[in-house]
Amino acid sequence: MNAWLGLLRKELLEISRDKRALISGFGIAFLAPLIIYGGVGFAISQSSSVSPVWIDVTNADRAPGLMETLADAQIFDVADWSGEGDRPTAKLEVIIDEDFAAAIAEGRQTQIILRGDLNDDAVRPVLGRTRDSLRQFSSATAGVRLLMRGIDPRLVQPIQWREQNTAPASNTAGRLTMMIGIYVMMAAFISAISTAVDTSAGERERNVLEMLLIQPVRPFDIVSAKLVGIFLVAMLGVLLTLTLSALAMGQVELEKVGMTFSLEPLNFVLILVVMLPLALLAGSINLWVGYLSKTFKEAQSQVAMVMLIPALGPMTLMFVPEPPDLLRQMPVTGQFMFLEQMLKAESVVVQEPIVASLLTLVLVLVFAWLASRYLASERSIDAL
Amino acid sequence: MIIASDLTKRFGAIRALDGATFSAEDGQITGILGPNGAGKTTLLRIVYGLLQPDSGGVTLGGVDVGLNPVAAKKQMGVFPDRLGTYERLSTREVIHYFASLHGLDAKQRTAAIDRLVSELDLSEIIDRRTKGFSQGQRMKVGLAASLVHSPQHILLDEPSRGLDVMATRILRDYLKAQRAAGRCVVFSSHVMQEVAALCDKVVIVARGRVVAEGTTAALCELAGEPNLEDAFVKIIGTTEGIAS
Repeated sequence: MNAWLGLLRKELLEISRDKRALISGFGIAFLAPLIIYGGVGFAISQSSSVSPVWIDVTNADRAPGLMETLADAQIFDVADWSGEGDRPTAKLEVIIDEDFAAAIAEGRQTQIILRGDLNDDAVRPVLGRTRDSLRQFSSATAGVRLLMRGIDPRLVQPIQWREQNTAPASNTAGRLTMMIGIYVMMAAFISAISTAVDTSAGERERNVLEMLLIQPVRPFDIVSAKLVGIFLVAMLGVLLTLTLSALAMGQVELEKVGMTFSLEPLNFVLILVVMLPLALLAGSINLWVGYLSKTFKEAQSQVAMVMLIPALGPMTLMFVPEPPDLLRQMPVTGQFMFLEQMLKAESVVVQEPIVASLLTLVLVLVFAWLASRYLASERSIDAL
Repeated sequence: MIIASDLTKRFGAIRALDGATFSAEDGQITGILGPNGAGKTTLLRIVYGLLQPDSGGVTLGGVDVGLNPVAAKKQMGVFPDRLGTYERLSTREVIHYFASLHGLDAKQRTAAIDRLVSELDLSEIIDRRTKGFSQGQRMKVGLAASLVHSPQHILLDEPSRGLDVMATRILRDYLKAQRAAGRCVVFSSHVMQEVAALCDKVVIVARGRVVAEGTTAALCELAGEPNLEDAFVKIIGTTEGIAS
């Protein structure tokens, strides 16, 4: 026990003094809240406010009523631009028929052409808003025509629909806050990469591995002590990422889109508990790949590549509307789906994260055993 | 006492050891002498249990290194071929670390550190981090880490490589003190003067085999040469890979 504690003590001392590894490891923890605050905040401000857009209108003078309707929707003709600086670029061309005024007055049908690169992501919102305004103007004009003929306009509108969103605010916010889930998962896998590479391939490159292997300690003791050190760094990364992301989420003006966000203390703790085996898994994979690599640089690139594989799982799940239930019991996807439920304040089937955690721990043992076996082999000295 | 019997080891097509046999007594310094590439490091790595021989075996204080490596490692202090340092740790922390690995408790660790500070004159560097240490200072830290548990068997693989005159003298004096304390000291080298000045017994290794062993005088007599260098050249049959 003395020997194992000695191994752990040395790992913790070295880790605490390796500022470069810690700074790079915890980068995601400090980056995540910035992205959440900046990115989500920007998205909300975009969706909750109507910004003016500019279109190029031909024959605007023939349709003053329509131009008013467009102006009410913050859609303006670039010809009317009177602000300072460069004239804005029109994203859409609206061509009004020369005969527009007469056609409206005489109760005839007239034509408006909307022209532009309609596949362009920047043009589509302008197109949508312009369409809505035209539909509104067309409907109002039709209503007046019908009234003048003594017909109730409701006759041609047999159905009137309204949309009422019954989703709880926390649920809606949960979808938005899934970004936190992604960051927390990434923190578990990425935070300790530098530390793991330093303590595996780095030790060999610094010529201290041979000295260590000569000591009367079992390779598994060496691996397990290193694993605990790496695990602590990964969990610190998870804790920081979760805390700072949740704090950043609290600063975003979610109420502007009718949402709220709160992470209950119990859910916060449960997320950390579920991330424990995942941090161990990340550490064990990091160590094994670190030892297999021939050089420190090779270890850095290989570990980063390998870590992308489990990190991709949650990202893929974001695009699967109804993932199979079995994935709730699998390592990585199970933890991610649990996180999703916690952040959305949904009820959880307790057995699922437990099974996922146990299977994750089995994988941890497999990778730790592989790393130990490698250390016990002659190849470990020269990475042959 | 260390007994290595009929050791063979291949690395792919290369035969690194080809039936090497030697013994080293307690209270003596035994030098493993050979040109570069003769198999000295492989031989020592098998003795200290880092490599497994293809055939043959090693006993150390009566313990079979292959069968009971942990018990054997407790009886040996090793200064390996590649000796790096833990640059983020101080000398005290490095020695503390290796003392822990040998199961020394807090009291024993403190006593061992105090003893090594005195024996190896570590007082100036004991609380300094090892980053930027000179070769001589690194050698001292390595020796302290290797010998913190006062092992009966001391194995050193070219320990004087890169050392200046003063550091070499400190090393020699320390090894002589260990011999005087009845320890079994084995070290490899390809430096004639060092071996001649220090060793009670010389084991000459060439092409993976022990080609001769005995005292310096006995080897000179065997080769019919007046000094160890000439005797060595005659015994191995080449001057390649030898430093005087």
